[in-house]
Amino acid sequence: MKGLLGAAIAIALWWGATIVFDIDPFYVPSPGDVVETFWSTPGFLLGETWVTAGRVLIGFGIAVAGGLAVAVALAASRTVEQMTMPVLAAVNAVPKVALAPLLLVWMGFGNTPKIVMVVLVSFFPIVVATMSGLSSTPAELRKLARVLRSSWWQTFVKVRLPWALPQIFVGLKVATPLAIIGAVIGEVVSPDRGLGSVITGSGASADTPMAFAALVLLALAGVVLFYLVAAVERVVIPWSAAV
Amino acid sequence: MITVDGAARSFGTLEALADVTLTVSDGEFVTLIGRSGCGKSTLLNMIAGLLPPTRGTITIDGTPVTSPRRDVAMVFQQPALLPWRSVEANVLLPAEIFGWNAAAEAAQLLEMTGLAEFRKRRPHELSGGMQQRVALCRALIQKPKVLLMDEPFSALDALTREELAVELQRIHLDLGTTIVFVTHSIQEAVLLADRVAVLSERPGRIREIVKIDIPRPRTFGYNAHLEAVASASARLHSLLH
Ligand SMILES: Nc1ncnc2c1ncn2[C@@H]1O[C@H](COP(=O)(O)OP(=O)(O)OP(=O)(O)O)[C@@H](O)[C@H]1O
Ligand SMILES: [Mg+2]
Repeated sequence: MKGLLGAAIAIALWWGATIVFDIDPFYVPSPGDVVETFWSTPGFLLGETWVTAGRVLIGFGIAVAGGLAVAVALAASRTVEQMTMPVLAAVNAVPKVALAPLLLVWMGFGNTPKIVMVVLVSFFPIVVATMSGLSSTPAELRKLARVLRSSWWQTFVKVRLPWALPQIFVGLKVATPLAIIGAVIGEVVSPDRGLGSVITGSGASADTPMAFAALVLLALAGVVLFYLVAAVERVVIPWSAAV
Repeated sequence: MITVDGAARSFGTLEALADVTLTVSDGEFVTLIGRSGCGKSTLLNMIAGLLPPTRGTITIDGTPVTSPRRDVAMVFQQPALLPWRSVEANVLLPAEIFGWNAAAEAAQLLEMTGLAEFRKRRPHELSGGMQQRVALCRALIQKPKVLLMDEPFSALDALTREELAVELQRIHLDLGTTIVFVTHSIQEAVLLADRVAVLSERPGRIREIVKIDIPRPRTFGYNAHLEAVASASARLHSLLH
């Protein structure tokens, strides 16, 4: 509810600024111009949104599955974990945006380079959050597991993984906007379809309201995805809010 | 029976515990008392099989201790409960790991410690004292012959502490479990122990073993054995300072 109010205020400020400063809609269109543009071609924009959303969801799904699997595999052994942490940090620091032109060279147009971009940008936060969650088991719980001679697997399933879940969800929430950014980068660099391609196209034809309409749809997609993850979180770890 | 025979433990160059020899008979309640850092937890961890002694041997019922045993349970200063599990599910954790079906025992233990109506609650809904009771139930579900307790009531307020100590005494009288109990509280030691082992400063060795000859059940505060309690407490006090 408060979120909606905040959004309303932000839109009012945007609208007010375009009127008060008498900004040419060619540079910054008012919310009215943007809505008008959307309603002139709703089917087109929604279709492109759906294309981008599909790439985001597929890429994010791969990143979640792969990220969790890799983190669990790495966390299986303390040595492996310590060996790979610096490598991960280094790879994570590489600006994935810089890879976009390379992906174009390797994979051309179409869905693949965009999905790969989504995976690249959202994979590492998930791996890092999961690994740090898995290694944050409190000393007394580790001691308890030892006293009970619980096997590696039992300790993992009954203690370490549930304990890591809140941090895993932090990683997922960090990764959701990145996933959308990744898809857009892919589409801007090798435009075919999707909202990123719309932005590139409207830039070329100086159609600012269209570009803004695409940006607003991206923002909305980001909000939806974020709250989707938050909703899953509330179902999976209802205990964490209370602790 | 627990026998600790010339057990010592160093960490690198730091000598934590030197030559401890101690026998605890079946059903006996022994408290370990000593200054901070004198090696009480180290000794307890060695009896639990979590830490091998660097010298000497430790046996339980004649078997050398090399790893944790199912019939030896432990309670720590923190309750160490799993926040996502209900009270009941926390108590059942050891049974689950051992592959036992112990639902009835869990219900019985929760009844005994006054937690029955809280069995579906999560730990964060419980007070510190209740959480520690859950930890005690979780240890007892192992049906331990030996219960090792490392300052289990230290994190609690004074009143809750006394309440739990009295309750532990009752449980000990009921179940006859052998208990080794680390504490910093002379009062607690005198209330609970058959014998109090006083450790010297680091490297810890046993300075003296004080027998507490006060009939049970004992209570805090004024009671028929005021003089015996006072003299035992004074004795422990002088050994510690
Ligand atoms: N795993 C370890 N590695 C290195 N040093 C340790 C380790 N465990 C304990 N020590 C050291 O051994 C000494 C005894 O520690 P211990 O925890 O047994 O003391 P304690 O009597 O239980 O103290 P407290 O009353 O504060 O709990 C301390 O100096 C401690 O720093
Ligand atoms: Mg200690």
